[in-house]
Formats: sequence, structure tokens, C-alpha cells
Amino acid sequence: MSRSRDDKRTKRPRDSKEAKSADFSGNINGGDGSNGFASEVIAPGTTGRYLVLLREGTAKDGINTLNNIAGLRVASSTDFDGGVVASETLGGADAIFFDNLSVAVVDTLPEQIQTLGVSAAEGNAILAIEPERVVYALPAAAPARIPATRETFVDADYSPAPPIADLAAATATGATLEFLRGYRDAVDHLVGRMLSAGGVTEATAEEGMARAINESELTWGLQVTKVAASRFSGSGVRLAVLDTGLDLGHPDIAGRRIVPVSFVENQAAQDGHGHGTHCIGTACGSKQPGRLPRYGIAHNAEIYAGKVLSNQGSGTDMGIIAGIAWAIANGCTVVSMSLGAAVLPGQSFSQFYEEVAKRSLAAGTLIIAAVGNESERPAVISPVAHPANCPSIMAVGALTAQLQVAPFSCGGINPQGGQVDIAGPGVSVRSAWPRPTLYHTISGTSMATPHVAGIAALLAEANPGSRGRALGSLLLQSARRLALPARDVGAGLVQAP
Amino acid sequence: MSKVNLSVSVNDEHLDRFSEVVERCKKAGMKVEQQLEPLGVITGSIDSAKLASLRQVEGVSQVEQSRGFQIAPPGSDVQ
Repeated sequence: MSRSRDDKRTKRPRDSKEAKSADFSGNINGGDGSNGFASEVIAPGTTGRYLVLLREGTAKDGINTLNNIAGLRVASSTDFDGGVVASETLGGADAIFFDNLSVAVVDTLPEQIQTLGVSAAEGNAILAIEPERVVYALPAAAPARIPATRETFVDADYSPAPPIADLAAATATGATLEFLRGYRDAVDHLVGRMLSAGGVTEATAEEGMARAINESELTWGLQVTKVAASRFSGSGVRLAVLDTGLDLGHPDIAGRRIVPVSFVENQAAQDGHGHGTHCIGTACGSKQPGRLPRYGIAHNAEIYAGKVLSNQGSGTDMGIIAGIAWAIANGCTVVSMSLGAAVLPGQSFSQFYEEVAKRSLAAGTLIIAAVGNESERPAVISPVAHPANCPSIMAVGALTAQLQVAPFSCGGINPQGGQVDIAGPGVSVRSAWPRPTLYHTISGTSMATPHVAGIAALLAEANPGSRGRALGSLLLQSARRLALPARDVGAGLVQAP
Repeated sequence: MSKVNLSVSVNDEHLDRFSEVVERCKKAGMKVEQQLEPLGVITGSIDSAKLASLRQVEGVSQVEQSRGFQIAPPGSDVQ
């Protein structure tokens, strides 16, 4: 079975071309003075381009407005074969219009954008104009596309854009597809902002960065998920963590109701690794640990510690399936699985696991799993791992304390269930560790997952009628929306009820 | 002939006749280790040459070879 064994740490896609383009992206976005245009006029986090949202069904008027008022040369994505915009065929257009999105991306001077803004205020075909942000439009995965598309839009007459040697390498079809997906995210964001006029639900990265992290009482993860304010504790809820087991003698869980079982041959449920103890600590650790800060969420939940990974950190599908069956048989409402095996881009999910997950939901057991740590952002975004990529398993991505996507967190790049459903705190997460260490701070989507599982237990206590799929819906509906692509964070940051 | 570890799911129509499907899998050459009736899953092993015929067994939905999982060592910063 060694061929199918995917080491989450060592099996990372490394593509020399992508690695090179990452450096390139740094130059463009960093405003480090190495190129003429980036640093002087473009606000941080934006590209210098603008997104113009047009009223649906008024494509012609919109293009005319761009032409007549701002004097822009507009190309349409429908001019191109299959709607795939290849940079080299754009010629010297100033803007490109995405017909199916009713959005134009405009590269022009701020004065012209102001002219357009006046036009928008007058209530014509233009609904809104917004600076294009690097974070949405040009996801870190596609750094090569920044210079490629920039070249596309820039008119040499007024832009001091320097010659870019790597352009040719950046105009592959795959790049433009990613480019379009990026714009879709941007449009989603723009529309979302218009709908919530007043910005009620908007959570910004700046907000996260402005807050100083003080973990004297609570870990940052418990702070941003609002756990301390919750009146729920997971009381009466059974929560299974399928992992490396648990340090059954850890002082912080003394007196708790714990059901430990090992599915690993010749190894007891006692955690000889640490990973399982850390995950259980986050999901259901004590409200008053021996040493602050508090790190545990569902502090009254019944702990079902299923050992499906050995003390060496390895496990098999058979053990995991057995663990899921055990959790269902014991009436566990939530199963937390901080484990996975990497999949390839384009690879579909396991039909077998999907069937298992569906039956689990029908039995009232929600399976929550880590999306995997194979990304190396900004250069590489790897697909959501098995089995989190099953449509009926809730897939959890990882966030930093600044509420940014963790560099290692996998993304929803595969279709059919391969999406990220929700995100949780996953960088510099403090939790329990086997004696004598007691506490340890580590990172990973493995750490984000038990945050979601613990909060699922709180929600389950708060909503006794909601189990299985209904419980999953509650998690998604109550998540805090983030100004980040759904591809990376799904519904957003998990929130305690 | 190499042995492969695998998991078999029983289709919805045969869930109430789970043990019959288990017997049919055994006849098809599967060495059954676990019968997880609440999930409708059978785990075990089989000679790889007999995999195809196992898939044809009445009541069998999915046959999947068991994968290995490996998490990072305890000392890793990212887990």
C-alpha cells in the first residue's frame, strides 16, 4: 500500500514554473520599487485596475458608456473562442467586458474612472465601480497572470509599464481560466457588498490586523469564534475525534466522561503522538485549564476518542471507516477528522466515502474533516484532500490570526464536492499535548477542524432538533462572512452560538 | 496474486439483507474482517485478481481499496 500512501508533509506539488512566477508576483504586488508603476499610484492590495459592474441586460449600453464617456477601447470576452480570453489577442484594449458576468475590467487612469463614476451616479448602465483587489481577482495561486493580464490592458501610450520578460510563459489557457474564476470571486464580493449596503456583515482583514492578539485568557481562536461568550458547552452532546487517541491522564480532562477506543492494531487509545490530544483539546478541552489561556470549546461534551492513526501518525481507510461506524453506533453527533490524503487536481471524490457520509448524516452524525495542508500559497493552491472532498463531509480550511487564508490551506479547485465549506483558526493554535509537555502551539488545517467540531457541538446543544445535514447548515449559516474567496474559506469563519 | 485491503459498501436496496451480501462477498473470495452494519460497510481483503468479480456481487455498491494516511510527526510546526 505504500504507493497510495500520501504523506501530507512531504508530498507537495512543486512546479518550477509556478515557483518562478511566485517571485514575479512578489515584484508586481509588493510595490518594492523594482518596477516603475506598482509603487507610486496603486493603493496597497489593489491592482490599479477597476471593476465596473453593469446593470444586467444592458451590455451594449455599458460598453457604449465606457467607449463614449471614458474613451476606452473595450474588448468583449465573447469575441474569444469559447469565452477564454487569451492575452495576446486582446491587443491594445483598455477594458475587457465579461458578458456572462455583466462586468468590465478597466485599466485606465483615475481621472477617467471618476468620469465613469459620475456617469454611474446619474443612474445609467453602470451600477458600481470598485478598485480591483489583488486578493480576489488575482488569487495567489495565479501570480503569473498578474503581469499577463496587466500587459493586456495597458496602453503603452500612457502607462510606464516596464517590459516583462516572462510574459510568454504566463499566457497559457489555464491561466486565463483561473483569471476568470478570480473575477467571478471579485464580482461575488462586489454584489455582496451592494446587497448589504452599510457593510453590516463585512469582516475585513484590516480589522483582524488592527486587533492586537492577547492570549492571556483565551486563545486567539476562541476569541475570534466567540466561544467565551456562548452559554452553550456541548452538554449532552457526544463528540468523536478520530485521530491518534488521547492522553487519558492529561490533568485538564480529569473527571470528564471519556470513551477511548483504538482501531489501530496493537496500540492502545493512549496518544503516543500528540496530534489527537491537541485536536481533542481544541474541540472539547476544559473551560478552566491548569494553565491559561483557555483553549477548549465544548467543555461539557462527552469525548469519544477514536484512535484511527497510530502513534507514528499513520492510518488506513479501513480504520477510519471503522471509527465512523463506531461513532454512529454510539450516537455521536459530531465526528472530527483532522486527517486526509492528498488528491490531484481534477481527481474526483471517493464514491465509497460519500455513501458512508450520507448514511452518517441520515443517522444524525455530521462528519467534519480537514481540507489538507498541501498548498504553498501564494505559488501553489492544492485541491481539498480526501475525504474532506466528499460533498457530504464538511471541509474545513485554516485561517491565520489576521483572518487571512493560511499559506498551507488547500483550496476548492476541484469540482463536485471539492470545495472548502467553512474555515477555522489554524495557525499558531495552542492546545493540549501529552504529558509532560501539557501544552503545545502548532498550525494546520488539523487544528482548524476541531474548532468547527467543537462549535458544532455547541450548536447541537442549542438546537436539539438539528442533526446531520441540518446541523451542518446551521454551521454554515452562522459563519462570519469574510472578505476572502469562497474557494478558500467557504461560508467564512465558524462562530459559536 | 497480491492481496489488497478493501472496503465494500452495500447498496441501499440490500441494507436490510446485509448478512446475505456479506456471505456473497465471502463466496466471491473476500476475507471479511469487519461487518459494519450501521454503515452498510464490509471491510477485509481479497486477491486483486478477484476484485472485478467482487464488484459484480449482488447488493454491492462501491468497492474501494484501502488507502494509507500519514500525518506529520509530532515535532512539525504544521500538522
